[in-house]
Amino acid sequence: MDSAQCSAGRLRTGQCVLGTACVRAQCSVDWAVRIASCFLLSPCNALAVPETHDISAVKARDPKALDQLVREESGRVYRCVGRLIRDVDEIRSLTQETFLQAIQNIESFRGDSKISTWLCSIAINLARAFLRKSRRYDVLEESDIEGLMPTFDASGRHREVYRDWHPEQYTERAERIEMVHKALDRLPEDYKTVIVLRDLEELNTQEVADMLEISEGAVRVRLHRARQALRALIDKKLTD
Amino acid sequence: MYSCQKVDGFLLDYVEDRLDPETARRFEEHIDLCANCERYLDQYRETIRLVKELPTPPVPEELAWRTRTFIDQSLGKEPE
Repeated sequence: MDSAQCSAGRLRTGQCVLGTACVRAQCSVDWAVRIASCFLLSPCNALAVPETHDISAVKARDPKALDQLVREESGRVYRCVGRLIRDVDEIRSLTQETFLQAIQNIESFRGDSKISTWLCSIAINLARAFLRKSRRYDVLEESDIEGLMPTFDASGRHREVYRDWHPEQYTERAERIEMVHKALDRLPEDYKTVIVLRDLEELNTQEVADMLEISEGAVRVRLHRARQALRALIDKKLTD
Repeated sequence: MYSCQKVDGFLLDYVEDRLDPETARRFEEHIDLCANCERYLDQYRETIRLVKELPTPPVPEELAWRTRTFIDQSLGKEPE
């Protein structure tokens, strides 16, 4: 693949060999790892706390180094996956796959970010691929999302009259969380991911843009639409 | 005064405090006079708050051990 096809790599390293087309084609290279290598090069990562793992030993597959890596980082990777997927068996399976891909492709880790950040980016990419393939959730189509957007008349006024949400319907935290989870699960993968990365993982717009290989403007448009769609789904629950 | 549609286009920037002072003033001028947009803004913010409230998934105790075993088994299957 021509390096010019990968926007994240072109912008950040000039060395990336994997682009969006590879992801779409699900080609045989370990794309989740390569994309992770592309986008996690921001200064905030590079200047973060010094690496605590012996990367050379991990590359040599030293058992003690692998033990330490898995012992200290598996929880964080599990939580990254668990932001996008709720099935605990799938989260565990994708956590294991994340470490396997990382170890098998450790030579592509250049140390520009901490290895923990690199691992989480691999995990997020694997989780996204799983969501795209999964038919477990009743996921909305793009045309359905359009139907959840506000509409306006010729003078620019809202066509819909919004009703107050009834707080008494979600005073129990567990019920409230389940309601939001169910609404979030109905969003298409790219909408769900942008909400998770911005509102839960609290990445900035540029970091999300690099990860999703879209422009910062596109991230903002998608985030706004995702929040509006989620608001509309919650609205259906709270105004019934 | 801004229309509801115009205000809708500025919602994301407003909640992230990215509007210039004059645009923010005109945005708020509309919100003060339009109960429907005020309600929508409140619900947009509440949606963000509700997402942030989602808990971190609890990590199973045996995760590290299972992952380590999986790695050993998988790497053991790799061709030399």
